[in-house]
Amino acid sequence: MLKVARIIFGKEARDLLRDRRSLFFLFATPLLVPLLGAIGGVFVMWQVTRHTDEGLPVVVVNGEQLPALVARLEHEPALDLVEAPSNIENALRGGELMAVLEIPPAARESLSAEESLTLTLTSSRSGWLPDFAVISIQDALGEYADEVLAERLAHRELEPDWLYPIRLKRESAAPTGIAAAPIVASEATPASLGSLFVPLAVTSWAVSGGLSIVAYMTVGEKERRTMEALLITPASRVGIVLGKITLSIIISAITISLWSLDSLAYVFFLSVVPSASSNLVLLDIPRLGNLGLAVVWLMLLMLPLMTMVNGFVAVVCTFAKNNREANLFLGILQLLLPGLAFLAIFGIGAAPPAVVFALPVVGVLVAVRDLFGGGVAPGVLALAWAAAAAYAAGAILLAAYVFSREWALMRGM
Amino acid sequence: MIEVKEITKRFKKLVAVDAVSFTCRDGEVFGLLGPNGAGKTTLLRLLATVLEPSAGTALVDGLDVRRESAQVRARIGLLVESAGLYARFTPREHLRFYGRLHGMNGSSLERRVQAVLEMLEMIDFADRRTEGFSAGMRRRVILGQALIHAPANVILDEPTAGLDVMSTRGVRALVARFRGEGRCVLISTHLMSEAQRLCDRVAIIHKGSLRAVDTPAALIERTGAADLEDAFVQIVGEEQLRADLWEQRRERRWYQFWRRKLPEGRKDA
Repeated sequence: MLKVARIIFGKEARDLLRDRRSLFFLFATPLLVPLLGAIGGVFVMWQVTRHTDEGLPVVVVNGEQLPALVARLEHEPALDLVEAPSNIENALRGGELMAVLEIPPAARESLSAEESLTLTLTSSRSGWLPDFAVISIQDALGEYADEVLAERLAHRELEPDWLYPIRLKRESAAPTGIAAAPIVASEATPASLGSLFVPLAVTSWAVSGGLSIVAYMTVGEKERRTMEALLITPASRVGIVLGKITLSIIISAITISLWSLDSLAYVFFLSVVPSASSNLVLLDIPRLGNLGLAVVWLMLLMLPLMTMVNGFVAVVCTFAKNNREANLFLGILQLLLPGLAFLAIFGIGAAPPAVVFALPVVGVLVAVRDLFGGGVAPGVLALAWAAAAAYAAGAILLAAYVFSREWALMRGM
Repeated sequence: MIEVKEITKRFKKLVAVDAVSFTCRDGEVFGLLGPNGAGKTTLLRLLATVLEPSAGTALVDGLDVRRESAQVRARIGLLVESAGLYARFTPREHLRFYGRLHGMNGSSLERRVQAVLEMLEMIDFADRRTEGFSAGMRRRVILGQALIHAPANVILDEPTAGLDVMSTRGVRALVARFRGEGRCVLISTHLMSEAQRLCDRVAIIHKGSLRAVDTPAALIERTGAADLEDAFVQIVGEEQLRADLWEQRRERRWYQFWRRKLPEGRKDA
């Protein structure tokens, strides 16, 4: 049986290696997408830098009312404060001016009287550059507002804490066990996004690459009319199926690795690039003490999951009459799997009973959710893995069974 | 030797092969004659263990197709009429692949591959990918696959369909060679002249049932016909054959009617 599996694997691998189109979509895409993304990012950054270095033209009306604010605006590197043109509205519409900040004529008096002050910011709608001018103005204005507030508090002899009568101190508690992120007392919740995205990523990985390969190797044999010649050899049907599924799993593993490298590169990029939206923490790298262990468990869980999914795909694709019918089945499966991921993320509560981890597909997804969320006991992970491995073996046997049944094989032949 | 014993195959209500029995001996070329849809290909698939009989059985060199299917597959070579090829593989790679699946390897496999390539005159294109091959070239590769393990029993489904004159002559010479080597050769065809020329004995099948089994000469003599074609028409019945044709045409008309009427129906709606 293993000899037959090796022969089939070798033949399918050789066939795939000669198919340049499939190779491109399987392996070149994960390499090209980040490259194109990086080129696009560099181009955008270059464009932004080029324009902001020159300074985005902005007009401040009645600037003499708030000289401290004007000084802050002059210090903003992206802004260039210019004299007001004869027709401000036309200049804004034409894109010659990025924005106009209008300070009320009696602004100084209003601030002195500790009244609230409303400034009007009008920006041009020509292109994307005015947005950068608006962000810079808002930054400067925010700092100036803090300064005014501090002065008012000092004038009334109040501490800054007076503004915050109630504060919230956040802490987390989770089951003991393995977790990608250790539980820490923190306002940030670095693990929560991982528990959302990783199960979804796992389902997309499970259907990436390998499925089309399985379809090509099963229903493709019917379409090419090579199935019958294969069946009249004394080769073991289990061996044939095993050879085909093994290749699809290896292809899936390679594409997953490539996409994972992309994701890691993206996370690394986010962690080194300072951002205004730094409150959104995808993965807090310094705190991920158990990340290595979690990734090992993730890979361990992925292997039976991929085998299970590919085995099931082999079943439906062997049954399918032709590629069209197989694509219909695959389309349903590609919708079903993310649906199961959503069920695992949102539909199953924290610390579910052990039987949940023994469910097909959902068990692995819940285990992954907890692994990259609060935490999960090693025993539960082992249960999820064992159950998934059993389902994977069952899927291969079912595929081999269908591959030897004439009601499946003769459809479309 | 192939012994077919009351073999029957049903697909739901349709009886594709109905209690057919005959024997094809070693060193004999046995022809299965019948119009399209007679059940010839189904019968060959039963013998090749691709399909399982609904009743009855067949023995290939004494091995039961039901119980010993793997051993039976090792003893037969089947040329499937509508078989395809792997477009990115060469004929040599096809032969190697099927040879390995038959348990061959090493230098013995390479020698056998070379021998089959030479026997079927494929040396000139042995290392070219099969994409773009002519019908004759494709048929030779498929025949090579069926013969790579030197089977004692050769089953050929419409072996000359779609072939040019020279390729057809080549196939006929090959069949004669198999007979000379003492192999059991079972040919399915609807070409009467070919059957008369090649076969030692023929079986006439119509709608899954066996109508007659004998030598072509005996069938001609028995019916008083001029040739095997006339004998075939007399045995099956001219009216019956016309009715079959009408049935096929009517099915096609229904299909065309549906195709043609559908847009009009949509327009009305």
